[in-house]
Amino acid sequence: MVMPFNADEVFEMAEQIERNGGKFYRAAAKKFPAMSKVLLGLAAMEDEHLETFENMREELSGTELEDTVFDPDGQAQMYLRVMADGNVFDLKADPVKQLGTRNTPEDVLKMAIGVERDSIAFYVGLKEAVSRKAGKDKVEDIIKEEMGHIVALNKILQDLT
Amino acid sequence: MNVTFNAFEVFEIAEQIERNGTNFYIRAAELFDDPDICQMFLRLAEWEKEHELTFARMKQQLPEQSLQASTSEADDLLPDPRIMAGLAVFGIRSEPAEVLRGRQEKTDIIRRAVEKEKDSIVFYHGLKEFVPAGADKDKIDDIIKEEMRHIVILDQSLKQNE
Repeated sequence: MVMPFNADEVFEMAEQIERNGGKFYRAAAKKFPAMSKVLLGLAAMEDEHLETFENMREELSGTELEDTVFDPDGQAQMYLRVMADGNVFDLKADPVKQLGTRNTPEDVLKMAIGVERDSIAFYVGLKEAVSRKAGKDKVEDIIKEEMGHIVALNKILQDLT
Repeated sequence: MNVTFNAFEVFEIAEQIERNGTNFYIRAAELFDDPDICQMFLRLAEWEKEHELTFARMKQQLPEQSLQASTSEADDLLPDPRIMAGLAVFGIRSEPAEVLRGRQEKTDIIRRAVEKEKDSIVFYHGLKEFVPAGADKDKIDDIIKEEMRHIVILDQSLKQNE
């Protein structure tokens, strides 16, 4: 039996993803000043996402997941639990430390694309798990923006190579 | 110039992702002596094969205008094909079975499988924008849920083997 999440836990994880994202882009901008404008722009967007998730959490604070989910077979919750366990998606890893080993702009862009992909993989599960009342549409908007980040990063990568 | 994809091409990439997945899992099964892990990989390979057939059927049913690449400026109702071009990076990576040459740790192979599943989830979420609401969108949703379930299965295996 999978332990059900409450809204607090789920959105706290989403907030952590965005905090990590913002930290990562700021550190990358410092390391590669030539790309700083784009990277700082992405950091600012991650800050906005963080704020959205914080507001969503505040609105749902104390609400049991059963009031906020539409996940009748519990599959999305099992998936989120796996993501939360840290085995296949490590939220506790410091992205700035990971950046330390990336020495070229190409490496950093590839890492950034991986970071965005992991965020989307988590948010797709989050979207499945939450009800419309709990902000399903807002999660979808954030997914679309993260996809836009991948497009932007990929374009810079292509221009470099 | 921006690279764009039409719906037909996007479905072809989806089929390729599944073909790569099937090959990856068949190759992974060959590398393990443990019958439980072999069986898990072969089951995953079968599921990926079913997904490939689903995408192939969906591609066949696409209307003719899907062969033309659209631009978001031209029609805001259509998905932005540049988004899919960006996401295609997850679909058209090198043949994943190739990376399984030589001896590797069990857990490395399982972790690679998880990464491959994450790629699929992200690509298919974008792919959903290329089909109208209805049965086909639901089918893609079902496939996304199945890929999520694959990650749950792989994670259980990872825990047993660490």
